[in-house]
Amino acid sequence: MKNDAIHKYAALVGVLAGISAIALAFYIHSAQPKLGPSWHIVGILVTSPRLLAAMGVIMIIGGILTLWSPAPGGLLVLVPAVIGLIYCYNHEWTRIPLLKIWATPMLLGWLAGILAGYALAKDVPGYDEPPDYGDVLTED
Amino acid sequence: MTELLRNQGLKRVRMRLFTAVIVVFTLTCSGSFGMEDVVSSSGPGLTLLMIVVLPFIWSVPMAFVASEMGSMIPEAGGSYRWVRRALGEYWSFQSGWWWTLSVFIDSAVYVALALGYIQSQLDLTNWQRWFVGVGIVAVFTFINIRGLQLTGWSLTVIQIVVMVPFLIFTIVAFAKGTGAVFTPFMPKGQNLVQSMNLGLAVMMWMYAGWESMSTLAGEIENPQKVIPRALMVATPIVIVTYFITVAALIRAGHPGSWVNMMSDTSGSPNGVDYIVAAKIVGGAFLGWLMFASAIASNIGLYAGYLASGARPPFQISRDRLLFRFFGKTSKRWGTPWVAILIFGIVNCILISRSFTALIVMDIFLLMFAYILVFVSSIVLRIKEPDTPRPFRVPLPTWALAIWVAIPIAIAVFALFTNGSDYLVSGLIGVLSGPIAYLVFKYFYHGTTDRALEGATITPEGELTQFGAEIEGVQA
Repeated sequence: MKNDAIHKYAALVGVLAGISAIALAFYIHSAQPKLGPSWHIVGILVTSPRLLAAMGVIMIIGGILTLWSPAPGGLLVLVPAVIGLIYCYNHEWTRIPLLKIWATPMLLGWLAGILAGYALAKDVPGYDEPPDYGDVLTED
Repeated sequence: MTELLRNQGLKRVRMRLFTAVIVVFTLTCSGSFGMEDVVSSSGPGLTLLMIVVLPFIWSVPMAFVASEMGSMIPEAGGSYRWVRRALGEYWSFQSGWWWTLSVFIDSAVYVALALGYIQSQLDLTNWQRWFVGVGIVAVFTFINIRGLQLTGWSLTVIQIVVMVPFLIFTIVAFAKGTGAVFTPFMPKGQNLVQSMNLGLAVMMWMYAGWESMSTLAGEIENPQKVIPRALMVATPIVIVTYFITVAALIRAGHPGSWVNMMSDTSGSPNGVDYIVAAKIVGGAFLGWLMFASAIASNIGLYAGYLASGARPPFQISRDRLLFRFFGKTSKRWGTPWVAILIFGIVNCILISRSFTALIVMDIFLLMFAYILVFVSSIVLRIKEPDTPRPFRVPLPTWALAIWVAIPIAIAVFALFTNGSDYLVSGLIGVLSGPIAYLVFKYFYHGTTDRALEGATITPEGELTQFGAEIEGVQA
């Protein structure tokens, strides 16, 4: 496990993004039925609460993974946030209320992605010489 | 020859100030098509007031900041490299990614708009339309691969085709038109904020693009002098062009016709755009001239953005943060031919289908990239106060910070006022940045600042490497 604070912050924020998504799934299920059918609906696989809960679980896994490997961990946090936004975009009539729900996991996921980027930059330092393309023009 | 003068396989060409001004004019104006929507939504008086006032709080700060940073860091990739120097690899990648993505989409829009004008007169099938589009893309892709000299020439010819009809139209409109230029100030029954809302968004778009030429710095001789001068000359020209041609448009119609002004008149028999207005005051011939101008305007914008848009991905690849083939240069012409070719291929794919969802993503990406540029300008003033800047904004850092805070506030305001489709798709586009960084950094590793090829101008006027430590310059 990496001991850098940046890895820990990235993991913490990623896990928080996931927890907030799951909490909001419960909130929609209990208090916001207009935003999509709840858990028990049969015949529709992707509903707002189900998607939030599933993405939340993936975000938590991603957040924890960030401690060891920021690239796959960060991706597992960020991609669910994008999937959530695509879901919001495709539901035109409830887009803004859905976006308000998704705002917390999305923003936390974004922040976790930024921190994961910084953590990755620490793990993978850049090359110390420019790449050789064999096409360098010289000037007299 | 010194090792420090290596230029990544790019060939520098001599660009005269006139040509550079034409390039900036193309990227930031290229005629006034699109202003029709502002007139009808904000009213004649408010539109003209916004044309005069908005530049000083939106585009002039960007033009000045681009001049200062372009003179300080005159490198291929432009704003991507400025952000790298100020905020490091992560944010520079974000800036370059967002800007490139935005310009990829943007440039396809210009071809689609040109095709829309052509199709309005020639009843083309979808296939014919696509072939014409591919033809336009292919011609300008080849011109761009041949180098900036030919690109500059072609943009000069295009701008003559664009502006001569506008000149004739303006003279005839003021001589024959009857519309009241300044009245009413804004539409009846609307308050100032309501009137400004849509108009502001369109006008921000019309006044964007000042940082675009800086991406070409790696292929121009003395970019630290030529580009800032061109920006300073082009800025008043663009403002005056917009003011006079929009005033002529309002004048051309009869009193009250400003309500029907729109840039897309298809399906609106009463709609007035520049072509209709030209027919009203100058007959069919002037109408056809304006029609040619509209097509040339969009083709010019495409050619300009193809040139500037291909350079950041080239530079990102050279920094080992994108597919390696993007960084290849033509040994014959000294241009990033693969990046330009890929740009053209993506455009051909985009114009073959509807890409509405991508267009709405566009402005969001650009605003975020702009915010990073403005922030970088202040960070560099603090981080590298003594680095030579052949052009320096004549303001102390605190005053510059206040000045650039205004366009940042406008950009943030615009993010939330364009509708939910813009907001959500824009956020999707923005989140693609961190995702792309994680992927490309993981596979390609990037390059340290110290190793980057690039140019800092020393007080003696010599070029040094990007991360070099010289007297008065911090790496």
